[in-house]
Amino acid sequence: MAICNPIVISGENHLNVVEPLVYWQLNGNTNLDVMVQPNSQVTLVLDLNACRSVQFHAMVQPDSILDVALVSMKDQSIDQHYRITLQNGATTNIRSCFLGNAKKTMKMEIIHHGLSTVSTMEHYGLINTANDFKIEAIGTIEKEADNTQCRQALRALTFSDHDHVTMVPSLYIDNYNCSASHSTSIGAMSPKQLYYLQSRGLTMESITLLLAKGYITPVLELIPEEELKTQLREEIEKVVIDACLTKLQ
Amino acid sequence: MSTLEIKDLSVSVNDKPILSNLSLTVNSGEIHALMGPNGNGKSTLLSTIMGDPDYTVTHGSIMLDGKDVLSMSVDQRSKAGIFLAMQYPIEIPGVTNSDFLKEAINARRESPIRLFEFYRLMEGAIHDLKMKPDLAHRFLNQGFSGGEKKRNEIVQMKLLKPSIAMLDETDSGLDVDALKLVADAILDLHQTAPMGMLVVSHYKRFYDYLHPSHVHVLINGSIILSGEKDLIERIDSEGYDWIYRQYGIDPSNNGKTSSGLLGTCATKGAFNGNL
Ligand SMILES: Nc1ncnc2c1ncn2[C@@H]1O[C@H](COP(=O)(O)OP(=O)(O)OP(=O)(O)O)[C@@H](O)[C@H]1O
Ligand SMILES: [Mg+2]
Repeated sequence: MAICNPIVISGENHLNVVEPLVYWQLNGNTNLDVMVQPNSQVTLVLDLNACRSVQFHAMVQPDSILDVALVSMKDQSIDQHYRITLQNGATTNIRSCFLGNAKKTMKMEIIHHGLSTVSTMEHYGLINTANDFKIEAIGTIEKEADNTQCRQALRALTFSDHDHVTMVPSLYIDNYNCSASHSTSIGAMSPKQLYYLQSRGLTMESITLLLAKGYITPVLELIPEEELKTQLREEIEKVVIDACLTKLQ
Repeated sequence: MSTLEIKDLSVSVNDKPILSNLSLTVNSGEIHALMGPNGNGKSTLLSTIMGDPDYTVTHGSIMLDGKDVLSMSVDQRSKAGIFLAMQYPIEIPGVTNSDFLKEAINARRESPIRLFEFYRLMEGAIHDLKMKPDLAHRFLNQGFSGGEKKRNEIVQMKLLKPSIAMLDETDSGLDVDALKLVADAILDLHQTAPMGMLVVSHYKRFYDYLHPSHVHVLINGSIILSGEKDLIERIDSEGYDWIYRQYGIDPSNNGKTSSGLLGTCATKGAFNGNL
């Protein structure tokens, strides 16, 4: 049960992560410098709901795996910079889900520095205001980084024509012995789609949740602890219903 | 035992009248075939019964077992037992077929269905319709072939067990084997829990499997002719020209003038046995 309460982090931090699962709540303006030990596997769950800005640097040392699940659902603006560097044989999987209900910007760069490195980035946005929402995803494959896999996927769902979202995936490749891909999709529910789902008995509330589920589930799947997963799912679903339901109607 | 009763229904799209003074009653156990040339209002009728917001009812009523269907929201109509297998099923990226089916089932239950039970039902339906098992886990209708979309509509119908089922050209896009498979699935459902059915198709072949008890011809927004299976045979071999001639209909008239009047007179004619 203890795991379900996050450790609150703010200000300037240099941390060596050794535990397999860490649940941090970032507060205010936070600088985080994280070191992942060689041959280890770490999952970071970052609750950004109380965070105004974050500078996050991670060094993933040889043959280790860093998974990061980011959640930002509150209607508070946030500015985020992430830089994750992969050494030989390191892997990182990053998934985020955002409720776009305030000015939220994110720049995330993954640097493939070593040989045989793997990264996947998936960012999911449920956009429900006309405020700025911007995600920049950058994959950098350095010259020495032979045999690299780098994958980015950005998805956003908007609830009205007035919602704005910018998603920019980019790849900088200096070593072409790699497999790299990116995809972006921005979708909106059309009246026809709503009608189809309603014609099978679904209410606006269940439609909202069903849609949101597709954006939340992949992020939660990174978390290896059922109790925390359930707790976060419940928290997120509640916020999503409150925030999106009125937009759909 | 359910009864869907449509009375003097007039419907417009963007202020353009499509249906005028249409009346039709469908009881459990009956299969009503609805035929008619393209663009004469068949889908409009079915969509209006389901509650598609594109269609505006300007006159008349639709009642299900004495309850006013027109005052129900779309999801309430579904939960009341009305189902429409659509002519063009909609693609919903981001929502998996199985999540969607589970929600649809739960929408009409007090407590959520147990996962084990749900998978048994879903896999059974998918198997019966010989669909590829991976379709359950793909996004709803997205990238499905034309025939897969139509089969998926019937999977939904099997799981939701409606009391009034409407099929809008479910047979078009199906290969010959699938056509039989789909018809068998419908008949199987109809035998275990008799539905009132309203089936739109252009082809005799589908009706040969379903054996409709009633046949109607919808032209210019009105049912101008009702009868039995021999009507299907005649339309199949001769087309609609003889009906245009017999009822003095100008097929180039898009129902804009006097279609209401025509419809009423002609229906009376049909009921008087003027066939
Ligand atoms: N949403 C809509 N917007 C504009 N016009 C429409 C709409 N729906 C139907 N119509 C028009 O109403 C008329 C009847 O259309 P409907 O789809 O009901 O015909 P149908 O009898 O089902 O034809 P088909 O056999 O080709 O499926 C057509 O002229 C059609 O263009
Ligand atoms: Mg049609």
